[in-house]
Amino acid sequence: MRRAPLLWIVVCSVAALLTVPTLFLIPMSLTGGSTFQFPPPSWSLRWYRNLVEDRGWRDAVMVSLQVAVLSTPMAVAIGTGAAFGLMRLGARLRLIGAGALSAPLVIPNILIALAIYGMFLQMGLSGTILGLVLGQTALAVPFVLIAVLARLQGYDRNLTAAALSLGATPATVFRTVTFPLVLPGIVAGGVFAFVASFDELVIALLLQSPRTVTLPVQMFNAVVEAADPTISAASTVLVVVVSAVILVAQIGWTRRSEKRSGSGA
Amino acid sequence: MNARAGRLEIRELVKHYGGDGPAAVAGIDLTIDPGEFITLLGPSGSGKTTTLNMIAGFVPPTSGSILLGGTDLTGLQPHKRGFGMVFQSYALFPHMSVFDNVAYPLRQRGKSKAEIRKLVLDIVERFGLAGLERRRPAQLSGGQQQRVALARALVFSPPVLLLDEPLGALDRKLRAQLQLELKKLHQEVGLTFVFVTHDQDEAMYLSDRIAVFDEGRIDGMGRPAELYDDPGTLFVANFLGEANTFAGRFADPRTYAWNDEKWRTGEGDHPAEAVLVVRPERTRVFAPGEVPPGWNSVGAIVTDVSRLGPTSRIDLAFPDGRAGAAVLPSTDAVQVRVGDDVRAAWDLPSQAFVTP
Repeated sequence: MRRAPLLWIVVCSVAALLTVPTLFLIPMSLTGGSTFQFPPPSWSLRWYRNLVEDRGWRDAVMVSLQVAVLSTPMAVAIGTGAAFGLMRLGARLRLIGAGALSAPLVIPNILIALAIYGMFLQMGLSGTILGLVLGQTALAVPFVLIAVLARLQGYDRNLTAAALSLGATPATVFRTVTFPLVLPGIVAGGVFAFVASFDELVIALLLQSPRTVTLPVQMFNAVVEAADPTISAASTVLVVVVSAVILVAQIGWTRRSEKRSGSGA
Repeated sequence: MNARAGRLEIRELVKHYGGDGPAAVAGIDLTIDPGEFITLLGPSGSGKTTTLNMIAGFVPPTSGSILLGGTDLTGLQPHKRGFGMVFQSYALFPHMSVFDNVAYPLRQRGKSKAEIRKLVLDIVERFGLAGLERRRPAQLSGGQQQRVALARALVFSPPVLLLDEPLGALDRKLRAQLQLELKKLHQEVGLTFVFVTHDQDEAMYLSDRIAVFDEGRIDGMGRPAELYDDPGTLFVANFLGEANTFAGRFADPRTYAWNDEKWRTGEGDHPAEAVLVVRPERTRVFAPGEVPPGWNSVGAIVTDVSRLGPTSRIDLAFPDGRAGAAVLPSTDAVQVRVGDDVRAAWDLPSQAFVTP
């Protein structure tokens, strides 16, 4: 099979358009100067040292990780449960339900953030980790829902019927057939949920208190106050963490399928 | 073992899905003897698949009951029925190997590892799948997948095997081969097979008995040859093969009148209101005046002649404008030309009266 040269050019251009700006970050974070001059006048790891040594930056990374680690499982649980529930409805109700649950994707984040802010202020959740976790869970649920729903819609219900006819109880059917087949959707949804939470800015900005500054908020504040290349270092960390999560999920999945096909007899 | 052991009885089974529509299954009675190969045959929407799903336990009946060996299964959940089932889509578990697919029902029954291994390897060998145990279903051909599905449904020795159009997704050649295998398999294992199909040739070839479904009822039931020769209803006559049909009336108990023709009815009983049917291969074509004495005949115009090798097909137009056909040995058809004015004729044993 020969690849069409034109297609090849288009693919490469799109890939470059998407990744090159990000790749500029990395040399900029390694600059020895104190401005965003490009190419950097000299090379140094000083901004990374700043990121680790400066309490504000270090705490921000920890808060972001903490919030993402807590909100991802919640989003996965809610989104997966909702997807299974929606599959039991008729086609029309399912569409309406999926639409309502995906609203956070469509409604501007600033509106959602304002609504959450007003509410959490009254409830005393503003400026708490719990408040951040809840807000970001709401934003992450649609990612899980869509990924799991797509997987469930491709699920052949005859598999459930077959497993039942072979003597498996409904619970066993779920454990041995339905769940393993839907799992890739759940994992993909979880990865997206983690990423969505880890680099979410608007809600985190409104709900911030000195104890709950996330990495994106810290970056935003740094830009507003006095931009120095620490922000490039922070961005690089963000990109690396997010890419690592997605890569690990993907590689882990490929390995697993390879191993599985060799199991049995 | 008493005579009822293993007998599958279906009594007054009804399924109504609600709403204003007619019942999907409108009262089915069926007794299936142990070891019988029975086919539920009918067009789509005739209720045959719904009936099978009620036997399997996937669809709860509105009323009626299902018994196996005298035990009522009607309210029993599907996983407690212990029937083997083969699906049109095969429904093999895509994330498991052939071995794990076939071992699945044995694991549910808590068999020991050694026992599972022995049973699975035995049946895999028997179905010509040896060496493929570690493959995933996606790495198998359609025919191999079908065999895995059969092996999985039989490995736990169920009393009854339910088959829902299991050959429907295969190409013609493979289909013919698997029909042969299925027939042999049935003779070997001696299980009760309940087979659903809309393919009448398949039903004729495989079955001990055929139940022809129409609009949620069994319209005709019997051994394939009996049902073909004496279909009982017009629907069965048309669904099971081809038929020349003449909707006339009885002028007297021994004379049937259709158009300007008067036909002898022969011996035996017939319904008061009936349609006369004759199979094309039992219809002969003669020049006017040459019809053998004692035969019934009707005027017809030859509209087409197709030589099919050993046989030839003569398409006919009857005086009422309806089309019909005669299938003759090609040696008898050499004289027939398109446009000929002929007599289509048959002897009395070739005709059957059916209810409209």
